[in-house]
Amino acid sequence: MILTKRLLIIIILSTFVSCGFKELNNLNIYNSSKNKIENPYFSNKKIDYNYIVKIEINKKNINGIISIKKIDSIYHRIVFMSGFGYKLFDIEVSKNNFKWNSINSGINKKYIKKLLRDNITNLIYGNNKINFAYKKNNRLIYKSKEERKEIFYLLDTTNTLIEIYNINKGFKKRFISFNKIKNNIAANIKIQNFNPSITIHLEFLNN
Amino acid sequence: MHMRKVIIFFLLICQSSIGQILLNEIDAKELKSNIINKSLNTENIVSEFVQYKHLSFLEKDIISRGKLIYIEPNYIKWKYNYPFNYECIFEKEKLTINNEGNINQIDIGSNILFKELNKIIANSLKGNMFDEEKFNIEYYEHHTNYYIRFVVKDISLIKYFSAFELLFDKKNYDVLEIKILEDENDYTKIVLFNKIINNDIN
Repeated sequence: MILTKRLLIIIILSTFVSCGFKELNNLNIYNSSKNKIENPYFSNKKIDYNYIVKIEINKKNINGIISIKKIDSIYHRIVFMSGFGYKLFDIEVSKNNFKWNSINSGINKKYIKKLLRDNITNLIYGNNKINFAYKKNNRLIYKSKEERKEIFYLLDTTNTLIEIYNINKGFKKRFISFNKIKNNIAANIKIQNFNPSITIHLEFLNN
Repeated sequence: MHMRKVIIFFLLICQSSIGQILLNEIDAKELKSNIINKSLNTENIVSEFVQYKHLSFLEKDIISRGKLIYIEPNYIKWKYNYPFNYECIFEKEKLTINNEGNINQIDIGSNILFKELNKIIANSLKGNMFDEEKFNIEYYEHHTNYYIRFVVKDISLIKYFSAFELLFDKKNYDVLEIKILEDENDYTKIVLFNKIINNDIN
């Protein structure tokens, strides 16, 4: 009986720990008049956002180049290419629309397309309506909540967006960090997907 | 009569501004024959290259650099060293990709894209891709170069490529540039330089 109780406590505790991000524990509510957050990193129509991509999946690495470009006030065009230069996918994306211009037959699978769609919309748009604001260690955190999906935006002390935490139904879904930021360009971006575990590194290509 | 002169004048201006003249049948045949002769004597090629990926919605092309090795009849190694280290080896029916030490081998026997790409690139490195069943071929002359356009008519290829363009050195029929057009807007251009033909390769 005691053993069963202990086991139950361990399961509950481990579930609690694995559900969320420890970085989001002990947040203090902060009164903010801000009700919207913008992601500045892919927002300049004059900039070609070309990045070297390294995808780590099942201990394998896949490399390529991704081009992200804001083409008008609504749409971004995104093309992912192999190092060899052929297109693996070509999409036009807005906050609410996702149009596949082409996708290589090798990756034209429902779950891969969903994963790409979630990663790309999360990276570029997210859900920018703020429902709650918090403060931790002198840094602001905005929370956007829609049904059981929660997105936390962490700003540094200069109010620059540096991290995005994505939670779905209480479980860790995705974590994005923007690093080496200059003139609203993040030279280094890391996207960590949980379940399935896929890490994507983006390195800004300035040629 | 006056109108005719004006039209001819404008046509001449257009032609000189484009800078290339469509070859007549006899000259095209001679050019083709010279290129084939050159390719028959090519056993291997080692060359540096710059690859320009042109996407119509971008301000600038994306540049990659590296070295390629071709050994007759069907070994091609693309060794990229910028913007990241990446090796792509086409050999017989296999494509081996080396991603910074992570090696993947793909059987390309059943993959039309890779199979054709391998064949087309091997033939275009030598300059010899005069397959009239697969392409409509146009021959042009430029100040210092010949330029041949291969418009894809093979239905199995059209979804991947619309045309290929090869630029040749007029003096020795060496391939200087390979341009692979995916559609009317986007293409990959590979410029070859420091090319060595038929050297000893270990």
